[in-house]
Amino acid sequence: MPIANNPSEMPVKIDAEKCIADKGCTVCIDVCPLDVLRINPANGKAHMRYDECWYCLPCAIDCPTKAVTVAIPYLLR
Amino acid sequence: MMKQSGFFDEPQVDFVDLERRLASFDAAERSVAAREVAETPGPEAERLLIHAIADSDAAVRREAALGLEQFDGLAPAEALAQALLDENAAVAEAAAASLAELKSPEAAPPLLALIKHPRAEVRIAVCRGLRNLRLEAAFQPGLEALGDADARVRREAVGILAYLKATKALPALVKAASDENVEVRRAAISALAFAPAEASLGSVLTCLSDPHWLVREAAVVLAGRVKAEGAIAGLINSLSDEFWQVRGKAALALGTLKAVAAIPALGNLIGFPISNLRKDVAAALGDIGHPDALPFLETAAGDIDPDVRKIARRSIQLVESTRS
Amino acid sequence: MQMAEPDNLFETDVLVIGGGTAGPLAAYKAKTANPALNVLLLEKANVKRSGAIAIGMDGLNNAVVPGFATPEQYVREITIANDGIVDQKPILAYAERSFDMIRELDDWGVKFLKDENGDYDVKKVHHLGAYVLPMPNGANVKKILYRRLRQAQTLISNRFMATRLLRGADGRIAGAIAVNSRTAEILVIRAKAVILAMGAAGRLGLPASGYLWGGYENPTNCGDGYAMAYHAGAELSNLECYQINPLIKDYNGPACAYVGGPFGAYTANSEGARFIECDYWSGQMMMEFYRELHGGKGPVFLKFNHLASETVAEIENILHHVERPSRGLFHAGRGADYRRDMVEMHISEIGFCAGHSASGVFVDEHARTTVEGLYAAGDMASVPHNYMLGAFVNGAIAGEDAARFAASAPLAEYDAGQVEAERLRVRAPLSNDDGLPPNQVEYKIRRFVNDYLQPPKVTRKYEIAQQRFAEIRADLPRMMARDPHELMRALEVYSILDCADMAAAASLFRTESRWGLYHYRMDYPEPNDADWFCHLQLFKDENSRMACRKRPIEPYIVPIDATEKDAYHRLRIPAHA
Ligand SMILES: Cc1cc2nc3c(=O)[nH]c(=O)nc-3n(C[C@H](O)[C@H](O)[C@H](O)COP(=O)(O)OP(=O)(O)OC[C@H]3O[C@@H](n4cnc5c(N)ncnc54)[C@H](O)[C@@H]3O)c2cc1C
Ligand code: SF4
Ligand code: SF4
Repeated sequence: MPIANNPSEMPVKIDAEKCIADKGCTVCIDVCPLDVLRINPANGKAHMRYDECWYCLPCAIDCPTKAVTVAIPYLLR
Repeated sequence: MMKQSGFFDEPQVDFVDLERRLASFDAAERSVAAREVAETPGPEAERLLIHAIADSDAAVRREAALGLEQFDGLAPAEALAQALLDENAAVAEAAAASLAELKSPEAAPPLLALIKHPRAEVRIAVCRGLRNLRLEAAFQPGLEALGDADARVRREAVGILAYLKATKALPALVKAASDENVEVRRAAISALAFAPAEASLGSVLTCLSDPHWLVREAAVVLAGRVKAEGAIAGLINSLSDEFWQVRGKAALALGTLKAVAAIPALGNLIGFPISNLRKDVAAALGDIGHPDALPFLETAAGDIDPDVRKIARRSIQLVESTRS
Repeated sequence: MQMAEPDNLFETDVLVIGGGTAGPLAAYKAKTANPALNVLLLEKANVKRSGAIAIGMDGLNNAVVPGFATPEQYVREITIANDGIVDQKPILAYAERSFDMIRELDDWGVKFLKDENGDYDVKKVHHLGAYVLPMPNGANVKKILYRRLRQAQTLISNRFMATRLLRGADGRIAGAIAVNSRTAEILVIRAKAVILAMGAAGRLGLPASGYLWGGYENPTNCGDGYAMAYHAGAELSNLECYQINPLIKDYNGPACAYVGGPFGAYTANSEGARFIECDYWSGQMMMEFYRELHGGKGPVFLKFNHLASETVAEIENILHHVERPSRGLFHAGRGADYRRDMVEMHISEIGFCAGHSASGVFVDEHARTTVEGLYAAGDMASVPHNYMLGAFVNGAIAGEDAARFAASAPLAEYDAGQVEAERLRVRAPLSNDDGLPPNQVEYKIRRFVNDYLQPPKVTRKYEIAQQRFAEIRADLPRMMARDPHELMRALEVYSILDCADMAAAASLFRTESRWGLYHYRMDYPEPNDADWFCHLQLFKDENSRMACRKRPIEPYIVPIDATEKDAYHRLRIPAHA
């Protein structure tokens, strides 16, 4: 059976200007308990890959350049 | 047995590689490396961080200052004291936080050397660090810091003396309890908890009519904690404080003091609109343990608030058990 | 996806699974008790920020600090709060080490609230004693634990999800199988002792928001530990004593009475009036909450707006900086301010968690399960109301005992068939090119859990649930995963379904009501001490079927005298005005 892609808003945004993933930083990707952040192959910066977020904030708190913004997922907001 | 690499976050760290990255021409790369070092225990990591704290880039210096929180002793204290003077506020803030983690007496000299630094932020951080060391050598500097022009420094200086719990600190703490700054007064009056009631009674009585409710609250709490018999009349007065928070704590203190004389005034509050206070009053009447309180407690046992009812029932039991 | 590499085999002395709260302490204490041992800590996420305490905690809920409470007093308190259904030895074992653990953590740099003289500033929330020690600056607790582990040279392996335990031919534990959530590599670990510390089963019920990840517990804790213990033949206790919490509506995190309570905040109905006697979380409290919510006076709120602005600022300083720091973000999004608005509260979805209630893998006072060499600690182990400090202490107890055990035991021999069967199960979703996406299956199970298992419990509804769960079980082989991440989610669905089945079986077996809302059965609305003053053990029987039996309560070592119990009950029966 084919798989549908249902869109949903990603709660986490990463400012590519500030992100230094290309310099070897993987802090947010390492600390996310849900393992939903990855390096975006398109620009070498971090991004959110899966909409599975506990809005727990380690990604934002630990980012050395304050590049991560977490929003409360829309369904809860 | 299989190879280990790939599966495990190696406890053996490649310091050569880290040192190379810490020397990269790219500041971002250096800061990434500094953070990795910060997560690594051991003297080698300590050395690298102390080196990195003098980096030309503020982000690197900040990572190093944060990372040094895990190390203790003279060398990290010296490096952090230096970073405390950094012109970049984020670096200085990180250094201040890490200085507050120091525990060993060897860390004291660089702190003591800065206690008269012209910048108030520096003096605050230094006092905070010294407080946690609980050092006799910090007593005199602490006393002097109580005379600082900046109230935030005076507030931290109270901490130095209060953590020492030394009798000779009492006059200074008593004096600080009438400081012009609220936070200093509040801290000082609370800090007197280690002393016998007689030593703090004067301060308690003064603070009972302090202009700020937080100080009045701290004073009534202290009176209860040290069982200040001499404060009973003042506490009864506090039962009509403009803040119910102060009234409630005064009621509890009167309970601890078993102040039978307070029963009528407490009884007057049994119908107060805010239930938090009714609960404290019911608890106090039980602690006093005198049958005169029973009519009030009977009323409280029919309160609309179940927590008040519960406490009232407990108190009735207490009164009855003291009677038999 | 091509994955033909041979399974990687690794041998260790002590294997700890789950690196949240109990796990790091278990690994650290095992290693420091006997540095000659190899200790491996396996974690589904990353030990740096994993588990319930990823961003610290508001405070210790159950600190037994001299001068404020005694271990015996604490044991009495928990015995009464759990309706007497407890084994006291493990509770006492915890209470006796509680204070030393606080001091050790303090020494490591974990921050607890202190008064002006630098002494612990313990607050009162419970019925009898004072046990709450706030941690307003405790956000770095995980970093501190991580450094300790590295200092002690424990091996840490992140992003590995354990899926099954291995049993030796002699009945002892033999090790575990795990799969990497980024590469789908399978790891077979042989170990002399295994400690389970995989947290609560927090993805059982569906949150009211419908967002699968918006639960109370860290969603990594989906019940893998409960399912693995069950399949390995260990017994589980009192699973019908669910975890249900009073939480901020929609946000689904604690508000929290433990923080606000000592400052004067309380749970109120829509008239702003208090309706429960004590904000200490218990089944009885949840029952009162439930009644108010569904009576005419709901909804239910947490009330701060009678407090002074300075006090609210102090509360916010805790609530918006540790534990669930996005609380501030949530309130800001709705323009809510504690100074003005009451915070709407709600009843959470159900879960298993001994840390909050009593549902866990059975352990004794040494944290030993019923399988030799297998230990459990933290939320998933049966020590009731254990919370964070309990996880630390019982983790430590497990680590030390496991180190002793592993020093003398050889590795157990196991049947290779176990590994083969598990490899097939684990890999199946990757080889399905089409089929059911795991998130849909998960949603469906959890919705049924809400529809049929959420208390009040009704026999007929439970039977329907069991039928639905069986149908879904038949669907599981059709789950598909497009990458290793989705594979992890698919395997989690197995655990969720196992837990749902266990919840139903245990609840149906206990034909009485107990623990307030946690086990309120409409068909048996009253407690029945004559038949049911006992534990309920759930296990896999010889025919691999789920079975339950009664287990007597161990004689109390801290007697609860009748007047005390009485006094407490008299306190709890509201004398209405
Ligand atoms: C929101 C919230 C607020 C709380 N507030 C307080 C409080 O204020 N005070 C208090 O005392 N207690 C509080 N608690 C309870 C306390 O945090 C827990 O009791 C305690 O942290 C549980 O520790 P644990 O080790 O059992 O679980 P956790 O710390 O959750 O650790 C479980 C670990 O296991 C890992 N894991 C799960 N499955 C697998 C698998 N298959 N393979 C490998 N690893 C796996 C997880 O990733 C996680 O890291 C709170 C809990 C929550 C959720
Ligand atoms: S932590 Fe920040 S800088 Fe580092 S990869 Fe993530 S977003 Fe980029
Ligand atoms: S908020 Fe938590 S779950 Fe969400 S992306 Fe950040 S770390 Fe991951």
